[in-house]
Amino acid sequence: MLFFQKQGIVSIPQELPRDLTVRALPAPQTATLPLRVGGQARFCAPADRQLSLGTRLVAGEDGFGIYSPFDGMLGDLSRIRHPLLGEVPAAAVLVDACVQPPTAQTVALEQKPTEQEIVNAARVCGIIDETDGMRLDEKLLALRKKGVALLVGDACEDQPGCFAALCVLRQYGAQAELGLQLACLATGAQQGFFVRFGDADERFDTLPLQTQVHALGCQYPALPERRVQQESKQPFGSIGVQALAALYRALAFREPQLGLAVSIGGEILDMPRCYFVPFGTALSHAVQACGIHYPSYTCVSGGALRGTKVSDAMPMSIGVTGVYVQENAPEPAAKPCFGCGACANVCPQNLLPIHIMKSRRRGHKMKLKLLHPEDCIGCGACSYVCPSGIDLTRFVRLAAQDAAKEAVR
Amino acid sequence: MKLYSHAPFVRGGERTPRARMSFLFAALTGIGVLSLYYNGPRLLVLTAISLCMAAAFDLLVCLLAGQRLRVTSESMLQAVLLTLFCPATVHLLLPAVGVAVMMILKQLLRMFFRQAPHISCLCAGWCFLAFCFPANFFTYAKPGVEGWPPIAMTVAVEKVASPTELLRGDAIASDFSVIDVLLGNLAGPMGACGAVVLIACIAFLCFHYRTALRTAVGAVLAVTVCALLFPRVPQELLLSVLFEVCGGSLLLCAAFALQVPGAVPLTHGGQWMLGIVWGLLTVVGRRVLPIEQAAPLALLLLTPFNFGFDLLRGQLLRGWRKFRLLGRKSV
Ligand code: SF4
Ligand code: SF4
Repeated sequence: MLFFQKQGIVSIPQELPRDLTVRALPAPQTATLPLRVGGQARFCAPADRQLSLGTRLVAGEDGFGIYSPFDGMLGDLSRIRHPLLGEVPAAAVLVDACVQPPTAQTVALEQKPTEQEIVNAARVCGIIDETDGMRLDEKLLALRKKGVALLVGDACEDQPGCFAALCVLRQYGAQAELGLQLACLATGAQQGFFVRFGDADERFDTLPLQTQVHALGCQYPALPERRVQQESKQPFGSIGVQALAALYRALAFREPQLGLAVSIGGEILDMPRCYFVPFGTALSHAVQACGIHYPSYTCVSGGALRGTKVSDAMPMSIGVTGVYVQENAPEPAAKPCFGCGACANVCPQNLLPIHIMKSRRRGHKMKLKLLHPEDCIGCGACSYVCPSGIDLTRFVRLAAQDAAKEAVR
Repeated sequence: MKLYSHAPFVRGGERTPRARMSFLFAALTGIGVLSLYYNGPRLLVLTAISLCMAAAFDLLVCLLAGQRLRVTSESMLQAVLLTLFCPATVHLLLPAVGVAVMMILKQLLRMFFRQAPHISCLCAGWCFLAFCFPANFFTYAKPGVEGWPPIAMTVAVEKVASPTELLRGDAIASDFSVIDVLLGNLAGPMGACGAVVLIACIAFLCFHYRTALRTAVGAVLAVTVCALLFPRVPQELLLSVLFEVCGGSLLLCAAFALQVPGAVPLTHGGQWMLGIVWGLLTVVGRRVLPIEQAAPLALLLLTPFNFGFDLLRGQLLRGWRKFRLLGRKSV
């Protein structure tokens, strides 16, 4: 058994909403479905453009599929600039009805699947790992090739306002557990367990699971990968809980991945909630469902500490599991640094963010080399604690980008 | 690589610079009141002149640069601190001269290096007074308002040795008791009176923000260990240790000079390193140089290495992490 030491620097108690159910979202009127496959693919929508739930829209040359999460009429195909995916092909859909949250029931598989069958199911059902945006079939093969002995089901969202993974663990824990067993089978890992952010909580500690759920405490950043690496001598890999549950459903029910559980959090919402959001639904639709009365607000995809500001017109896609909504107030101007050192002491990578920022500004290349900005993991802890309100994370990431460019040259 | 836009969107409730300054001035008021009790109203006159000088410089710089007129709290803090480093018998204009040197240096550094560490300027002002006017700057008298008219330019007094000067003799024969050292009834700079109050100030500041505690503790520990291992007056070991720690402006620097922005390295590890090296250098300075108040001088010498201490700490931790993860593979 692994024992996780207390780590992380900023104390962020997760204030979870009472309601941790993955709810159904009312069907939107229209949707824009991103169709990114990552390789050669063929558009294979029906000729009459009539869509029903699960209609295959795209077939990758290796069999990877993208399916319609809507009943409705297919509109134009175009290329859109997605804030997180970049430029991708997308299909407009006139929606009649949308997919509901998957069933939480489990059934015994008729026979034990082989590794190849598991990988194929992940590929055909178009499953993406929500933690890193990687195709699950490719990830399983990569993990097998590396010879992992340990597989971690990652339910660790340590950002304020993000709780989708916890909702999934609670509602679909049994499916995620079976998915973890299947992933272990496919990768050759001998052991698997779950990790989650937060302290002891009976809502998760009393789940009827055989697999252990490690609580990593409320210290941000939780850094589950690093902590597993420190505690275990074995090579390991990690997969998101949503992908694991989807993997089980793919084998048990042949169910493709049509959406993701997304937590919509933030203090200005009436009811922060977790919705099962079909891919292609506009973010504003989910935000409105949580009750918001502000004429203008800011959406941050990925959480309040590491996230990216996005427009609420953004179509939801793979990789978005948490959205933080805040009032659209102007950012207060940063004050000069007064050398309190909070940023340096909070950095989990032991960097000196303010020195990195100053060295970059002054063009001290030698000094920058010594400061290793490339080690930054973008956790945002330095900006979070800075009393002068300096956005250090941004400058450190820019310095890291410069260093990467320099290295290529 | 993904570039994060404006993270984070929530902020921690860290103390703002203004709040920190207000705590610092509150602590200074504590030591000021005690010093006023021992040194009389001359302290107020000296402080007022220094403050006026600092304010005048700040305003002049703003005028010349065409900026909005303002007086910075850092300049005020430095002026008060420099005055507290002087004895009550000092020439009425001497602290103001030190402040002027400090402010000019600050502007020169800003002009040529685009940055002027406040602590370096303060220590440089101190060094200017110590080396250019040693007779006046290091003439200590027994505390007492008698014969110290507040607005007389100079005061003729009978010179008394400070606790650290007493350590130069073979035996400690002095007018001060341990209680005097702890409560402040002793010869020395105006601000270095009352070890108990200075320690209370350190505790008060640490309660509100923890930046310099490690450096202060590191320095005091280093001085204590050196005084215990190599006592200057072995016959009176405890008194010798007490004089070594409580005398020579060490506690005054630990309580206030370290709180000046930029005085200590940013990281906790770097702060420990600075504290220990500062303590050792202070001991060496006291024993090798004829200056008993070696603490500010040692601090001046070490301030340029603050970044180095931080860097060293970072490299050590990197090395340690690599060593711990040696042989552990991740995917
Ligand atoms: S420098 Fe990078 S790793 Fe360090 S606290 Fe800031 S964002 Fe996190
Ligand atoms: S936290 Fe902000 S004010 Fe403090 S040292 Fe870092 S950049 Fe400067």
